[in-house]
Amino acid sequence: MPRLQPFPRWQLAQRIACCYSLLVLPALCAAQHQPLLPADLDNKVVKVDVKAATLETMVALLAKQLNVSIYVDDTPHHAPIDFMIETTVRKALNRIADAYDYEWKLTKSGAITMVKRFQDPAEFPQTEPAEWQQTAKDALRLIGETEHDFSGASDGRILQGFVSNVTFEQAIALLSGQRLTGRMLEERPLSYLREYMYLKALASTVGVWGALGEILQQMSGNALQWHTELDGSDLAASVKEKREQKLLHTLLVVNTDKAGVKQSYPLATVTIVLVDDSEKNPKKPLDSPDTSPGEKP
Amino acid sequence: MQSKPQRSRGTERLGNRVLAVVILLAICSVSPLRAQDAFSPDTTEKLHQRVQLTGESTTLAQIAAQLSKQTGLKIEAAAYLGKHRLNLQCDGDSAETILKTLANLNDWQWREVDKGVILISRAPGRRP
Repeated sequence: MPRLQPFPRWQLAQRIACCYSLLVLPALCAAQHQPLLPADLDNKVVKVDVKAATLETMVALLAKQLNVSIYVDDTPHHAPIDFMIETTVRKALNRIADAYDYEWKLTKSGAITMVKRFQDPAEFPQTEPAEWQQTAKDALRLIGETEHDFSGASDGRILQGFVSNVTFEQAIALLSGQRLTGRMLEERPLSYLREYMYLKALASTVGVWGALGEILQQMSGNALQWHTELDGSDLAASVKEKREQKLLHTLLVVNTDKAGVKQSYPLATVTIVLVDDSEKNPKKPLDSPDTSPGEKP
Repeated sequence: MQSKPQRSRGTERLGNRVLAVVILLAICSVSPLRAQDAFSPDTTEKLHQRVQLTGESTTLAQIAAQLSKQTGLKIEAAAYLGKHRLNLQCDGDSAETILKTLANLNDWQWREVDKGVILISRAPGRRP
């Protein structure tokens, strides 16, 4: 019987390596999308020259040019914009996101995500009744889970309890305008403080969420519409001048009858006070490199 | 006479090392497929399929339908999220990556509610 020659291991390794490079690697490279690396943000260049572009158009252009996946939440309520860009990916994304009032982020998987940042007073969240209804349900459930009985609770009683449980030194410190942190307090005054915070932040909203949830449940077939107006003056001018302003956000129920006539009535109104604090907290220039990609100042 | 076995031993050692590197490379290229253990094996496999979602603005329900079509899984959005508007330009991302990214984008969660059935819903809110 002829003795079989043992197959040298190095030859085996060579052949496996060869097969791997010929079959597996090309398959993997072809299948996997090229992720955008943090270094690419400053090394790669984007070149776009487009007129009257929507964010949708810009996203499609960027995705094609960078060969990267882009995920955008919602659609901006912004008029189309002209872009002439020839700069790094980071600067281009900053410019585009800023123009449509969005913020962007590079994900771990190397994709770009964009979400609304609501700095533009004319922007508003999505108004799907079903989603809002779920928000109301979730809010009510969470308030119910705080294990605080708000019935009969009053500011005065809670604050009295807090004051009578802090130490003399702490009371003096508070009276002289100093700040105390939660860690400085014993459990008892801390629990009064927590109760006060819950009362102020949550108790007053129970009725609002409850009523909102009920109305939303009854309004199947109707649409919600977000209406923003400035309290008594011109919105665009005040935003431009960065004056302190009150914004009135109204969530409207829009009912369209069979004849196509729309009727609307306000469901909820939120007043937001805009304060220009750019002097106290100067905004970082858009083109300055961020420590983490996409992080907004 | 002595140099030949020494050389062959050296070659063999080198061969062993190369073999070890090759095996390690092979394991590394396959290991991402094993990242998700919370799903049934069949679902895990389907979630790693590369999909294509490009085009105009769409809703989560339409995205879920496209993902279902391309993966063979039943991917659904909770009824209250179905009309949520999104704009996706994904070419070659895995279904798992897409679901993860969408969840991170809006604080949603996705889980296998039944074998081969994935539900996208809002993440339970954190207690204040």
